Amino acid sequence: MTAALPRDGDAPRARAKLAKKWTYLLSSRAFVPLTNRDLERHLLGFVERLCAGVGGEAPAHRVGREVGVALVDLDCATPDCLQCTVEVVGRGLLAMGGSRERVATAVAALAAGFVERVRAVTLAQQEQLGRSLHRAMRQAQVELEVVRAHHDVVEGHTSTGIATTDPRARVVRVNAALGRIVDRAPGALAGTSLFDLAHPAERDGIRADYAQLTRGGTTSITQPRKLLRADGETAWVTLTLSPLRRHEGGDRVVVLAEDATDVNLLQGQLNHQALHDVLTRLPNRQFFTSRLEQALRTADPDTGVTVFHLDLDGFSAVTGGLGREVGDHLLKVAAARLEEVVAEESAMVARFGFDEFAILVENSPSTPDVVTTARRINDRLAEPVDVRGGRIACTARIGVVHRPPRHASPEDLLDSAHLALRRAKGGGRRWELADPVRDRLDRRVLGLAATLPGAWEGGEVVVRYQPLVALEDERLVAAEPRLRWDHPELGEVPHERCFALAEDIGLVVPLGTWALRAACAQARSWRELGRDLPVRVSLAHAQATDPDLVAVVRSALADDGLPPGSLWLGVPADVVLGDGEAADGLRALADAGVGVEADGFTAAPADLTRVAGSPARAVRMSRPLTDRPEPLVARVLADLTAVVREAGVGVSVTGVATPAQARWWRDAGADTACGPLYGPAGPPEDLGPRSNT
Amino acid sequence: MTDLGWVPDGIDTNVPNVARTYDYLLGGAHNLAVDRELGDRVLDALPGARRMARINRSFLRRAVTHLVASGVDQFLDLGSGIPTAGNVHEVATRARVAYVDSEPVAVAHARLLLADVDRATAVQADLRDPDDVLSRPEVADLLDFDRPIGLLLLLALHFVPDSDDPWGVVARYRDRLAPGSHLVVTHATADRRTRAMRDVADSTARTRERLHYRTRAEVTRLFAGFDLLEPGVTGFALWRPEGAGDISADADDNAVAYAGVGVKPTAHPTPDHRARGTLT
Repeated sequence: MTAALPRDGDAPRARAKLAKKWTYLLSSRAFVPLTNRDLERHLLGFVERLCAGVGGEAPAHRVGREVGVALVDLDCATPDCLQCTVEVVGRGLLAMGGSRERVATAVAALAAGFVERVRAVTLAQQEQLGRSLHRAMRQAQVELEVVRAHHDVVEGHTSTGIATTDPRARVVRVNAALGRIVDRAPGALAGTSLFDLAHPAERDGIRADYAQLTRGGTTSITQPRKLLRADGETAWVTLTLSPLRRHEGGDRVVVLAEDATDVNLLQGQLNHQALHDVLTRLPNRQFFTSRLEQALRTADPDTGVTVFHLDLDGFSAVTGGLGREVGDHLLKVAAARLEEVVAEESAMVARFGFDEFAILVENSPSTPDVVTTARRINDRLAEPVDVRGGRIACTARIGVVHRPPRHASPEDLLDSAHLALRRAKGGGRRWELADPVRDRLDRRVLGLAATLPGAWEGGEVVVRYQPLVALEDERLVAAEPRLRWDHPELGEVPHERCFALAEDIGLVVPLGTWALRAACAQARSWRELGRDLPVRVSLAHAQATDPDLVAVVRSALADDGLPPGSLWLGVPADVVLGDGEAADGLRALADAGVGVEADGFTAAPADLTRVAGSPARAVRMSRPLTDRPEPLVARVLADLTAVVREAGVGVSVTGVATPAQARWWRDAGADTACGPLYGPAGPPEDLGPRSNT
Repeated sequence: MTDLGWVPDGIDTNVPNVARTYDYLLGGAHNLAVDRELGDRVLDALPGARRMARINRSFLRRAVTHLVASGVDQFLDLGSGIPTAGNVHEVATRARVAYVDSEPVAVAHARLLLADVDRATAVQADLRDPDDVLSRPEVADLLDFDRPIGLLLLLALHFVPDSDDPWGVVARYRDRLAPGSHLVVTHATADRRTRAMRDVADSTARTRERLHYRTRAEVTRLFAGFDLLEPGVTGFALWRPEGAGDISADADDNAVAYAGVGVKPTAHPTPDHRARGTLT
């Protein structure tokens, strides 16, 4: 215990030798992240501290413990390391003269410090590993959540149908798009077999694809395929089957179905534009029709649906007079007001065309009746709208189809509404209910109108002439062209009907112009035969207000070399007695010598005052007359004729059927007449002989 | 990687892991029972396995020390495993180091160990995808590819099958490195102790990594486009050993893996030019 370690010159050499040997043994037993020289330097330090402990300069047990800990911290921590350390250090210290007891204490403490440190390091490393595992797991979960969220977003919003199935094609998971493609609720698809969703003709093919994938195929299979929709229709898709190998829970097949029939995403965006009116943002006719089709099927049979078809009155006058901008504004206001009227109802307001709207109401027990709704529509539209330079109001004509049968086709229904609308217009009423009997009649007429242009071109429409005579002596004073359509099935369609049909299809002006030119050509023919017989051409309203009328008349006269006096024009009274541009044009023609007469003169006080200043040189009354008029009527008519004649304007009458009527008119002061009494309209040559008499 | 599983296998504590088994062989405690079981089986087949792990670590220290002495101060360590004591950033105490491993627990562990080290980072990536590795912000921001880099592939490429073309992978990294950069490789071989090495390969079959031993010539080919430093590709203990701990008394221990260090030349001529010798 008292023996000191050597202090002589040999001592440092002995310690260095021990350190060197210790270094060699440790470095061949453990990885020490140090060069041998550095390791040796560390170990020499340990040797010196141990010597101090054994020599009594420091507590041997404390020094031993510290060296044991330091060894482990140098990564000399294996059992081999401890074994060789105890051996080489124990022997070395004894060889240097240390007491057995102190050397044993130091080495025992070294072993204890070593073990204590190894235990602490091991626990620390295990702790670190546990945290690493936890972190990696959490990271994986976070990534998984991100992937899942991403997956859900993609699956939920893509238009591509996506399903996951087991290897036997049983659906495990499915997205909404696939449900849409096959027209089934996604929830109902889980558990079903993809084979059952396939078109029967495709099932074997898809089975073969699955067989290939479950045999270990690794590549996806893409094929155009047909799927079966719930409604029995076929959905064309591009089907991609991809294997999904899993370590647990069995393999899966991911199914992608790209819809090849339905609108794709882009088309979906365009859909709104295709189904809505750009100006008013209301649904258009196409959208309305499909909604109507649906509503007819799903409406409560006790209440049904009602369709209103509206046409704004005189709307072209608004756009013509106040400009398109005002017209657009008015249409937007009207659209908004119509929506307000039916805001309480399950209803759709649509814009069909220029000034046409439609309303579909799916009736409920609380829906107001048709009369109330039609009145509300007109009341609301009639409220004045402030526009540039003033206030204007709107009125509408409405055709109504109320509670049509469930099986009615939307097209027929809209036709009925349109026909009712036309009748409302024709009858001067605000609204009209569809009437199947009237519909059929109107449809036939419309069918006839549709064939008029072809008939006209094909020469089925001919011009006949009826005589116009002086009541005084029944002398022929002019010939009136009358159209007649020799219809192959219906027989003769008379003049008025021809023009009515032409009006329905917008053919009035061309047809009237054609008749005017034909009459002028005929007048020339007669002149060439030495017969100076004027022609009196009645103009339809549209023709009379046509801005080209003056030019048309002038060129017809010029082409046939006719003097203006050879042409008389019968012009609707409201045009020729009015003060519009049309009246100015007629005045110019009258000044040039063309005979202008007012047709359909009503003898209303306003008309009477305007006759004098108008270009008309005569008025024509078409008042039907019995052989013996009531004395009061007779007196009024006579007074009227006198007033007109006093203004220097002639009086002409139509529809004279009997000699008594002719006499009556002659006594009343009328100048000329036409009608059945003077013979029907006939071919031009029929009028020749009479003109000679 | 075409792994279609959701949970990375590396987190499955029932599957042994190469990085943790290596730690066990080095005497560490960063490992689980399954890893120690695998380590013990390796030890059965190859009783010197602990020594060999130590030899590889010693080689790492020597090679990195040499590179630092050559002026390299940034390292890209591919397949780094768990950077425990004596790893690159501890040897090269002033260098910047990017550790890359595909194994999530190793990377999580590396991040934990490197929490206080600014100049080192750990990235989870697959070394077979150089474009991905080099474009990772952690790598791109830390390392300056206009200056020499030490590219370390230690006991890593023998997990890359021929079908993934390890030579092509190395070439793609090489093309991105500045002249003066070094390639450091250790690679297991069955040129010696063939049967024992096969047994080791069989024992590791349960891990997700398969061992692909290569011959000396195959390992040498990895250095295409690099000038090999003396002594060329050699047993990993025999590359410039410095002391007793660097080398085993058993000659076969010293050669279960090949090691080599190459430097990318300034104007890197094609192998053809070099074959024709002194044209320049």
